[in-house]
Amino acid sequence: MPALVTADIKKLCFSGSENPVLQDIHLVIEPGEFVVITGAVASGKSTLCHCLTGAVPHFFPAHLEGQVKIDGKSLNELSLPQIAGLVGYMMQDPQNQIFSVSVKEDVAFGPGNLGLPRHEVLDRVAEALNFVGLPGFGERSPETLSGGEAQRAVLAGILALKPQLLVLDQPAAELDPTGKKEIYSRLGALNRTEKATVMIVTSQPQEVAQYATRYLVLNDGRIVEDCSSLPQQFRSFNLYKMRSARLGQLSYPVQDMAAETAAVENATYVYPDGQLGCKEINFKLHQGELVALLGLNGSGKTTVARHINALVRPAMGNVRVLGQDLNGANLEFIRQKVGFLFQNPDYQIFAGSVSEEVGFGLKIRNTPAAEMKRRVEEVLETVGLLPHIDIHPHRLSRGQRQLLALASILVSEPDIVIADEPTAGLDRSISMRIMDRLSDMAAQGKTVLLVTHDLELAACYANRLVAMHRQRIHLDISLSELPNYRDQLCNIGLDFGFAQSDLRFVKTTG
Amino acid sequence: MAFFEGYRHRGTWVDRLDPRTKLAWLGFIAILCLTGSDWKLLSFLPLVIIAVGLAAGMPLRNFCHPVLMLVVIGIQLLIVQLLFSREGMIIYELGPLAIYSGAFPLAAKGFLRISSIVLAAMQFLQLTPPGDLTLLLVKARVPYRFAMLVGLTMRFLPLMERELASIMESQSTRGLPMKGAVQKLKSLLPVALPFIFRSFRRANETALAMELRGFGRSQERTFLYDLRLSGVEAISITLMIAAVCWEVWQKVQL
Repeated sequence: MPALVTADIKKLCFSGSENPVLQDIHLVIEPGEFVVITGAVASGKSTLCHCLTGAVPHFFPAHLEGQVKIDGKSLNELSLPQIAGLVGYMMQDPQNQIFSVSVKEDVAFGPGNLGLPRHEVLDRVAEALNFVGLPGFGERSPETLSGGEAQRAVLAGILALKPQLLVLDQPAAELDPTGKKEIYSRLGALNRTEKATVMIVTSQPQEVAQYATRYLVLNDGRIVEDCSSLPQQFRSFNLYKMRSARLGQLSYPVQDMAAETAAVENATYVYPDGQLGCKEINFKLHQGELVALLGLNGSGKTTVARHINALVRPAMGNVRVLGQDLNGANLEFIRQKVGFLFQNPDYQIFAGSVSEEVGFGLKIRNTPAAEMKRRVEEVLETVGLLPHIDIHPHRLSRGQRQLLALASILVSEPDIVIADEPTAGLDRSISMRIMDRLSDMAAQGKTVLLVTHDLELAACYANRLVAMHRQRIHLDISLSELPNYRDQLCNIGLDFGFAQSDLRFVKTTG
Repeated sequence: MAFFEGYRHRGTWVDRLDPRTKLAWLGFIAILCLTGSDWKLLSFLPLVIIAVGLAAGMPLRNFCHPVLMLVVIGIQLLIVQLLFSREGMIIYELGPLAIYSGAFPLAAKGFLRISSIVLAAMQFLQLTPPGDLTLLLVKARVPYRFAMLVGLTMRFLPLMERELASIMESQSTRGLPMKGAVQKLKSLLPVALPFIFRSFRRANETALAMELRGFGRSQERTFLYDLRLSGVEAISITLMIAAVCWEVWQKVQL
């Protein structure tokens, strides 16, 4: 059978740079393969996707020595719209890839551009929506879709074009376990039943191991491993064991009588559009705790966390932070004492250099220049960004920008840190760096509230787990109790990424 | 509540109307406002627009933000008229400043006219699916590559508004004060720069995704449906055109 993809990339440099982003890539993909592309941050995974879809050099100007052929056609000689029927490309954020105000119109976008007769467009729309498990979603507005549903709607829009190759760049990076399962199972079915050729970029290849037929590991723009089974480093990878080996301990020495830092009492919140945010929430945070607030997307965990930072105020109930009831008068005090790390660091980065960005919080509080300089350097040293102190923040990788956002919070020396999905979309090594810094804070007697849907991560770092389901607290347990509640957590969609033996490990050491 | 409310399918009779009928209604209101000077008519029009909006399933709160904005514009209109109007008699004088009695009715009429046009335009955008707007432009022989940008704007404006709110929230948690107009003005840079950066990035990703789904591949494309004007709508449009012609004729006669 002739190869579907042949990529010969001797060297690829982006305009204005001499450093090759990709080099010595010789890749042949047969029809029907399910290829997983993985590697560290900035190893060239996304750039390889851009090359395989023609985005480089047609959309992103670059100096490309070599060429990529799909089904014998050189992508250099085709325009992007002409590549549409050959390659389907799905990126990380689904909302940027939905162009219409209804799912049906969006799925019809591609076939409509091909100029197919209307009845064929409609047939393709129905077929694609059925395949991704969204029949009956045609009239839905994209804004009403969950993350997983939106990704599947984008997938339907691509499948409606019937491409020969499907390239997906971290399609499930920001999805909760249920959303991940949905998208991966559809891709697996597509590969097995429809014999579609799939290439997927992920930092966690073990999640798609049951579907994958081939793995490519990239490093510094080169393919350093090309194998048919899960590479050893991912097979033996166990976050829990890695962390325990590194730190030698799994939970923090929280005193039974540690001082209360925040309390949410019987809080209920309803959004202005009438949607319930959270209902009858009761829980307390203590000094030195790292509490994981768990739940699927839309379960209400972020709403609860936002109460502690006074971003929302409960319609009913009370919130107390560091002994003070929240009211309009103490907002400045609360904001100074409670740091909030958002999922997307780009929501806050604006300054021209790393040091300026970190020092911003101190500057608006009129901190003297000398002290500001000292604290900025100290905190950048802590997060490992001191060597980058003078560069523009947007020259950092996404993971480094998340560390920068963390540094911007730590510099104000808050007593409580709320981290909302701080590791979403990041690879394990950078995730661990972020989580290690947060656990250091808890060990120093600060309070850390980790909002996440990643139970594995939570079990590795938190000493208490609060699980939310349908806007209410479902469970509030200590880490050592985790093995007893496996079924309950599975029932609310929080999957265990680790094996039963690891759970026993949790019980004995937690 | 979002400042920009895009189209939302409400399942009411308005959803079934052809966009040309809605456009004719908007034009009808606008021309009546611009040509009419009767107090009763000018006061009646905003109420009619709100009543039609409610009947079409628009919640009353959708009018709140535009009304607030209109009040600000109305105050500005009043100040301009107080300073420059020379109609009526002088009711107050202070040095070179003279305020004439005619300033108030002029400002009020201007306010009512602007209110009707703004509310009707807002209603048109909230009750017309972006797909219909695109087809309307394609019918007017605008190339589909440009016509579809209207639909894109409708899709992404609410998203951008939400993103702006998230950025403001993110900066306020760092301690950036954002209460009141002065503080918001001071915080312009830390809010605007991440917003611009995100917008460029979104535009880039969206453009790439669109091209890779064949956008611009050929001169023509297939749309899911065509515009169809019912008999009742055709009669309504004719009546509106006739009424406008009559009104204009009356003005010309005067």
